[in-house]
Amino acid sequence: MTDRNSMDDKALLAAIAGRDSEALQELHRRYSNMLLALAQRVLGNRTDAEDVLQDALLQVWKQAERYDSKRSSVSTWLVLITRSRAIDRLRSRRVVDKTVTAVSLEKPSAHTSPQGVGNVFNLERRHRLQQEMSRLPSEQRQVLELSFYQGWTQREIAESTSIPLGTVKTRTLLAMKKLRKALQDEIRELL
Amino acid sequence: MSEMDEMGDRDVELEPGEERAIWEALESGLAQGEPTDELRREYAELVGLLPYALEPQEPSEHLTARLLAAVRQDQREDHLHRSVRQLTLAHASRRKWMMPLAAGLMLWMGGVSFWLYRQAGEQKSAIAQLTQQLSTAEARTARLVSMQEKYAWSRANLALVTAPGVGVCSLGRASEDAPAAARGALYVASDHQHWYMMVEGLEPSAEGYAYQLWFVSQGVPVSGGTFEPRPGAPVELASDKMPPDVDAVSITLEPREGATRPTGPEILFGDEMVQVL
Repeated sequence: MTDRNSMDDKALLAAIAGRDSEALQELHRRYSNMLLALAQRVLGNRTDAEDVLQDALLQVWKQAERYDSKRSSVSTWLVLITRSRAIDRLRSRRVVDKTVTAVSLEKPSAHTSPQGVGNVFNLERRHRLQQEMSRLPSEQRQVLELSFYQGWTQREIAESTSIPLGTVKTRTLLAMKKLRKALQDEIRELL
Repeated sequence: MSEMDEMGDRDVELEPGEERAIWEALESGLAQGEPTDELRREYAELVGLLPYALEPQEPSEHLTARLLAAVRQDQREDHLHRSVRQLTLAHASRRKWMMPLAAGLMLWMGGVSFWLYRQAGEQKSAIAQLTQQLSTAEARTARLVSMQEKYAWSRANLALVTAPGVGVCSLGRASEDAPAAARGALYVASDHQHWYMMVEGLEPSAEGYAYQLWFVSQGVPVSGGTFEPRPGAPVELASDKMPPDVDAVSITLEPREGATRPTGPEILFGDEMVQVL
């Protein structure tokens, strides 16, 4: 029997497209910690976040053959599916709170994975992302997080924060440009 | 205002295509149907990295179990669809030669009509009889396809109610005014999404009214659909979607087009889910 632990992500997806449920379990083991954190960050609710994660992984199970390695890495594909599902769920709940909350670091919850779960590589990546995100001015980080985690358009951000639309757009572009430059190595690993 | 914020009102220096790549990455993540250049790919991967800044959250064992149950259910349905497809293909091969037969009959009838046109009125009854036979054959074919579809549906529901981890909620009369024979049972698969319900003993609803199913989640009713039972026939409903955290099930009598919340008399109710397998 093929050891799924040793398969790279693309090989795992190809196996899933061939209806290999153990390959899906391995993908779940590798990425669900991060994907669940993403869903929970969007929805603010663990129950909904787990539902969304289950839906996302089922979508991967049913549509693995649609993955195109020319467009993204496997991890980015998973992030985009999960984010899309979470934002759809958020919108359908019609409980989008337009009040802007202060940007804050994620607080650990009872379900936080202990250090070392996943692998050292993911831990290092997390430290790098946290480091670079914290280096962004709070105004730029705020608009970026509203755009990415809440799925707000630039116009919605401008209306809710009473910041001119042009300024919102510029802050977002600056934030993304800085992050791309700072995280060049991490991005190249995924290309 | 921070230094960076002051810069926010100035133009940002961007490479050609960079602004588009950024909005694309933030809004949809991936460009669809267009070639992906390196800049767009880099911003897509940047967006894919953002969640790594979050504290990872370990999924519950319950989630993992639900996922595996849903995958197994999908594998069973896949197998069932393949079986039905084989039956349909076998049926299609029969239809293949029935169509040339029907075409041949039509051609023959045309010849006969031409002969009749020349003979005027002698074979009219023979033509009527052949037309009737063709209609009967087509109706039989349609019934066979319908029976196969119902068979596949029944098999899927049988798989659900006998699957490991299925929960059952009995529905009983909500009041003394409900029909004495009214009762039902809701079967919920371990993924808490697929469900099957059978209800019997309901009287046909009056003109302009229908029964409506409600899933009650933390006191909030969510409609599961409306139905109008035929006299003496049980009602079967099934779906692959169910609201989360359902703690009770109710059936009320509502206007035929359905209500946004329960307004009519409650007929059946159940709030105890028992895991049977």
